[in-house]
Amino acid sequence: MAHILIIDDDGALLMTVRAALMTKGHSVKQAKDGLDGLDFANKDAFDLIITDANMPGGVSGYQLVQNLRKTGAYQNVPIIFLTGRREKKDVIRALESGADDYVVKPIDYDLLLSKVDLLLKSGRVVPTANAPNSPSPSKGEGSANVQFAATWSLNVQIETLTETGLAIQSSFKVPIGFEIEIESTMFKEIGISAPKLTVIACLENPESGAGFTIETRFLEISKVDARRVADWVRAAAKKQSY
Amino acid sequence: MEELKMSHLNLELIEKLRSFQIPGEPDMITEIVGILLSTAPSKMNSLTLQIASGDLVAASKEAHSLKSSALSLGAERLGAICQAIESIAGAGMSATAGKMKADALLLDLRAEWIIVQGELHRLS
Repeated sequence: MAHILIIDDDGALLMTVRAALMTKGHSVKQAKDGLDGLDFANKDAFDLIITDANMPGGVSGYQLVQNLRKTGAYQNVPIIFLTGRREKKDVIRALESGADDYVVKPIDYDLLLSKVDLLLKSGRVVPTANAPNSPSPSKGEGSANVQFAATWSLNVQIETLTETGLAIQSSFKVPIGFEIEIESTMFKEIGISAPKLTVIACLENPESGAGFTIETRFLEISKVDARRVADWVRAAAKKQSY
Repeated sequence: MEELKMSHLNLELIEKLRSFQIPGEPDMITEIVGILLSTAPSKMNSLTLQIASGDLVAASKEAHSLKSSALSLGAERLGAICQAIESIAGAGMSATAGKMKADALLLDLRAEWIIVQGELHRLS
């Protein structure tokens, strides 16, 4: 059975939806606004999230979903909007923010439970760029299971360097926590070997088609290299301030 | 608003909610009734003040919140009146026309709440 987070500022609704989900054997956690919802989502691992659209506290349901979709852990977790807003433009806004389904209040509990059930079974369906008829490297006749280490090179642009990491412009999304290595003449100029990096944020650039800003932190950097980076950053910053 | 087809309290919904009662936990209906009885009056007071001052955007948000609480127990007419108040802010009316409509709906809301309140007390 699934672990589900419900976010709504209406205490009565939290109570009834929790009870309805528990009759189906799910475990449920409740948050009273978007901020609490984000906090709970970051501290726990939920299989499905149900959220209201308009809530007090500064984080709306739309902002909450957009935020969750940017983090690796919730990119593929089904999210349902449960709201009193019933106009088509509201549904479109919810879907555009990253929601998978939409239920209008007053709640039809049978409908809500069946949508929860369906999304838990089928998972999140995200459109991909795969051509429908292209062969996929799935298991089957004419394929072999192999285990070889490999690297995948991408061209990216380093935009910011700090003493603790760097920000990269990329056309691809990279999950948070992912470890990467990049080669750049910048490291030669600083006088260090290419450091390993871990992704701490991956933000979609607001201009359409502008890709992603990937924020990283250095991993396993020697003290000497760290000092060289710090000196280089300070010197570069000083030069830029003139 | 198809008011005649709506109930003061949707008893079918309440029966449905009773079927979700978790054994060993406090009676859910009593708890929800308690929440509605304790929160609705202050929401209506805020709504009254917001409409009186002509702040229809704030009134819209308050009405949305009260609608959600009302519908959780199937207070359908109450929810529909809240929906009507909620819609005024975005309806493109003049400030005077909007306030007049909101004033009329507020009276309707108060009357409906008195009826719902009585039914809620009978339930709990």
